[in-house]
Amino acid sequence: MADPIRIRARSNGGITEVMVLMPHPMETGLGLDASGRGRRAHYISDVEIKLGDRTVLRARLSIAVSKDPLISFRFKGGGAGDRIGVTWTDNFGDQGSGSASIV
Amino acid sequence: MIVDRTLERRDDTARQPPTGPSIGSAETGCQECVDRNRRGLIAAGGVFLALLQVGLLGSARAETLRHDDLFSVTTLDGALAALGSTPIDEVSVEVILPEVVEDGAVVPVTVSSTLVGVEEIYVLVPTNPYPAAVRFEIPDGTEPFVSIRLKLAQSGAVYAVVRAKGRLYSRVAETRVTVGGCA
Repeated sequence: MADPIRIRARSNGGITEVMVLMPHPMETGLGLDASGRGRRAHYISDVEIKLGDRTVLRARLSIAVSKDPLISFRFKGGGAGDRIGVTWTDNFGDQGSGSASIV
Repeated sequence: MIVDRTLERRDDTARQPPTGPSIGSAETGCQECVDRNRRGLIAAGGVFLALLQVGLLGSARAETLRHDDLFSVTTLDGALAALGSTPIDEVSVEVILPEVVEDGAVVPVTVSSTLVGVEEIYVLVPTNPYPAAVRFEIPDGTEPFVSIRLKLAQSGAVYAVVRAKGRLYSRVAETRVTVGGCA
């Protein structure tokens, strides 16, 4: 359905830096479309990021997050080759997921 | 779903436009019919919506989203009330965002903290229609450092609120937005 999630994870001195880009319209529901009618809110509400089975970040987003949400953060641990998994759920109940190896 | 479709079909019949200006006595009788239909339809729609809301709010979401009311409040005071208490202004919380923003639709915001035992990080934007923008849960082992891009409706303050060991700490930063990102 949507474009794939892009993940960049780099291990550096025991700390892993992660950058996640999730393509999504993030429609606020406050604007009007070309014909002047209200658009329906459509946004990612929940994001969970895991290192294997360990949850390293959970986020609750709102309509105030920009189109194609980009989140970056850091956590202790994780080595080259370990898998980072990302799952999002939007307010329509649609889900997206992706994974990448730490470099 | 079946209920949904029946409603749609009824909606269509009720919406049939009146045909021409020829309004006879038989026609008025039919008009009443349509009116009654419409009333029934509105009532049915109300019940359906109520069921939908109860169903949605009551089930899957309830446990994962503890702060649902946080994201629906429209004032900063309301948001702070939803968080539980007033945060203490604290230099150990840092919020970084550009001083001047040309496009309010994409504003990078970074929040970090030197506090120990950070559990949650929130970003609140009082000038947005809904101040609560985002909430991060920081598990053990994750650094209190997060960065995200937000939409800002207009110039003003951006609050970073950090919950550490159950207490709230905050820091505020100001930014000037040239074109709001609210659409």
